[in-house]
Amino acid sequence: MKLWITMFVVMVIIVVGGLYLENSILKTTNQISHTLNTIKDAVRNDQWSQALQSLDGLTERWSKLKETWSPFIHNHDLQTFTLHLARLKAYMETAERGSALAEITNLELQLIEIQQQEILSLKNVL
Amino acid sequence: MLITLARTLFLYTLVMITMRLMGKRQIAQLEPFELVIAIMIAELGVIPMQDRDIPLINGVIAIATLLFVQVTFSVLSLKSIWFRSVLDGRYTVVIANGMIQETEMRKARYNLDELLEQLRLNSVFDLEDVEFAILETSGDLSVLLKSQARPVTPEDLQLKTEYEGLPLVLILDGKVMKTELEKAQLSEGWLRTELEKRGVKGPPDVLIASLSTTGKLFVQPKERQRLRKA
Repeated sequence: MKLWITMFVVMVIIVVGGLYLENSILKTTNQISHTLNTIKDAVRNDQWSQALQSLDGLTERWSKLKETWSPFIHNHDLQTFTLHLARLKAYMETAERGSALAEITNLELQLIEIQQQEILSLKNVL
Repeated sequence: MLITLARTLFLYTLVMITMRLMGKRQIAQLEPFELVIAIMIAELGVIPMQDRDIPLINGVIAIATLLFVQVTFSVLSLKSIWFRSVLDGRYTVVIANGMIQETEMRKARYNLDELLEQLRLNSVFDLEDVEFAILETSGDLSVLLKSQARPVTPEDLQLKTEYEGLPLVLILDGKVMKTELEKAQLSEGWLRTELEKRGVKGPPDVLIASLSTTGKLFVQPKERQRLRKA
């Protein structure tokens, strides 16, 4: 019975931790999505320095997030997002609007992928 | 490379602890649901071990969940006969009063070859000798022989026998088992004297020494000690 109680406590920690992680991922990805929209608007209006500034802030935030999330989320998804961020920066530095907008779309899709993979839904369970 | 090594060591330790917590039964004695959980736990340990892209925590959570399920089922099995029968199934009487129960055997999808094989494994070669045979939930066959075919016991011969308990192992691979000595209310000094009487220098030269309930000390020196003597 002692073992069962210990395992029950462990399971409660896992469930609470899982819900907290899910909530945190949803909240953070929504914030990142918002930043990406700001960058997208700046790129559309050819405001490259403002867009680059926002992207630098996002890259810095992402590197910290990557470390926090790597024990829980598939490393492949995190690496793909990092790769798209690096490519977006390169396109923005050379002011390639079309490619930069395409990379932003890639980032948005990747973000949705991360979000959906971590949500407790019937689709994910099955 | 080192990461794979570290992950493997971590997961191996985790799987070993989990298996240990699951209980002491051997694979052959596992109930079907326990066997399934044991296989799943081993498999869950291997997947994150091989694939570094999968976070280790995924394997840990899955293993912890299975352990929780197994422990919960075991607790419920202990408390409820109904749950136990749902989980483990029920035994099947395949031979009753010396007669093979065809219907029961068909229900258990248990054929005559399997019955004869398991009887032979129980050292029974003649069906005529069997009064009852029960197919246990673990798949083992328990056999009750007819009274005429059973080996003679001292009770049958009305012989008086002395109590025989478990012998105490006092030295194991050169090391004195102090707790066992305390149980027997004997001292290390007494043990050394007994060893000297048998021409053994001390405990480090002994492979195994045990004390029976009748007070008889069995000592087997290590090979090197025996060779030295020869």
